[in-house]
Amino acid sequence: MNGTSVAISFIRKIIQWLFHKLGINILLLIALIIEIPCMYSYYNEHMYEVQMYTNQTFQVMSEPELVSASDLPAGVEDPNDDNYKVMIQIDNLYTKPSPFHPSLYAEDEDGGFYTMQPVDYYADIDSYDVLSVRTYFPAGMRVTLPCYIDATSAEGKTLSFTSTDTLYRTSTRHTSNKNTLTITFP
Amino acid sequence: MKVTCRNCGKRFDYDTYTGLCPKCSTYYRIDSAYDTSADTYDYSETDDDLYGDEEDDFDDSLNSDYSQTSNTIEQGKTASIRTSRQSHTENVRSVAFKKNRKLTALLLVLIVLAFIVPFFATQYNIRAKQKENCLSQVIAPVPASMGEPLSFETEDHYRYELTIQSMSVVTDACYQIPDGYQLIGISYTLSEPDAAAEDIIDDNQLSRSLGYDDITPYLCTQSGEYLQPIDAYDIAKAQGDKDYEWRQTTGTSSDFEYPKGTVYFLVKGGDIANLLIQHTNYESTNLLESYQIDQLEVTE
Repeated sequence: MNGTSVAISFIRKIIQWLFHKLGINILLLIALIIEIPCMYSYYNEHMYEVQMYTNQTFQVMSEPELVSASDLPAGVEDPNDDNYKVMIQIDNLYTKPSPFHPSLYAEDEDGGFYTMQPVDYYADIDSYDVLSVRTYFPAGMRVTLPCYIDATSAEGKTLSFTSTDTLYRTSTRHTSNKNTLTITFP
Repeated sequence: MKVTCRNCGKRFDYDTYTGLCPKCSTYYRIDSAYDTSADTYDYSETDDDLYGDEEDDFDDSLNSDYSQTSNTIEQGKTASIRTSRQSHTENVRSVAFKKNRKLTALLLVLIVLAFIVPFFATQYNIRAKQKENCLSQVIAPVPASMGEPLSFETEDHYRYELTIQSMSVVTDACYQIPDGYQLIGISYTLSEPDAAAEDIIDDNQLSRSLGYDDITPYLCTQSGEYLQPIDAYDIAKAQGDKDYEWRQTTGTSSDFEYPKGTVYFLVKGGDIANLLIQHTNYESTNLLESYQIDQLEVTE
């Protein structure tokens, strides 16, 4: 009889003994034993999410300005079309720095989906890989950055933008309705 | 007829309680084999209703004709003993079930608690943490200048003093700086006014490391962006895969963490606005101090 068979026999005897002693309650005991680490994991995951939480507020600082395709900076989502440029003031009202700027999205009455986000500072050196470079948003600070949106699709519409600053696709914790920006495009 | 409960030992009147023990509610089977030792078995007192369907025939035969052959009586007794054994087994199971029922209830309560307590504790802690970490308005960093000692105090009141010594353009070819960009090196010194003289280590190490405290620089550009310092690993890799000792000796880091060191930023030419320095504690998630140096002199 090798070690494995002894172990299996031992486990089987323990289970039989437990079943004899506890009857159907052994199933509840197993459920409890599984549940405790699952709930601990759930707790930790949510507390981790809180650590990454950001509290950013937005404000429109300028009227939409039409920028022709030839004048667009690198990193604009639709570089081949004219874009509207809107200056957005973003406040990081949190005691931790944020590693990313928010992305703003809007949905019109017809179900059309629009996104608007600041252009990455290092967008023109995407291929540079000797040093890792990125922007950061320090705690408690304010930045005013230009955001661009495709002029063809946004023209003549009034859109309400909200932040999609979410860590997880299923999480609603980071989507804050208080940060809704309503912008009318000429 | 007085009988003794086989489960708890309570003596009670069988007819008054119709066979149910008043103490433990165990049903007393009158035909049990154990009865003979404790009580006199009297067929005339037996109520037919006390028996199950299987025993009815036997009871009827006993009550209707006492003069039956001894063979028939023997069969009846055998059947009675068999029935009593079954009854005893059922009683044991019944008792076991009652004991298990308490355990079942306990386990169910524990399962529910194990679900509810972490759920509500999480919700409470998340809200408390968010409330604690949210700011009502943006902060105004303390104005500072290059060469001025900037004081930082940890939550346990240990002080560090940071001095920005110089800013220079790094031109090493190993970094392959893209056109239009500059690699800026910011040299600093970090001292510990509270450290005892014998605790000072010469090997470019703080006598007491910052631990959860971070003193981090951000270079603000004219376009309003805050840039993150270049990672020390990238600098070391570009310098020819230098190891930790090299980083420590040269003080290469992405935070202010060595007594003498340098942090690096990649920035567009002529785009530097100011340098922001923030002190945060990552364990308590508290923002402790912020300084902003506006007058920056960059040497070539």
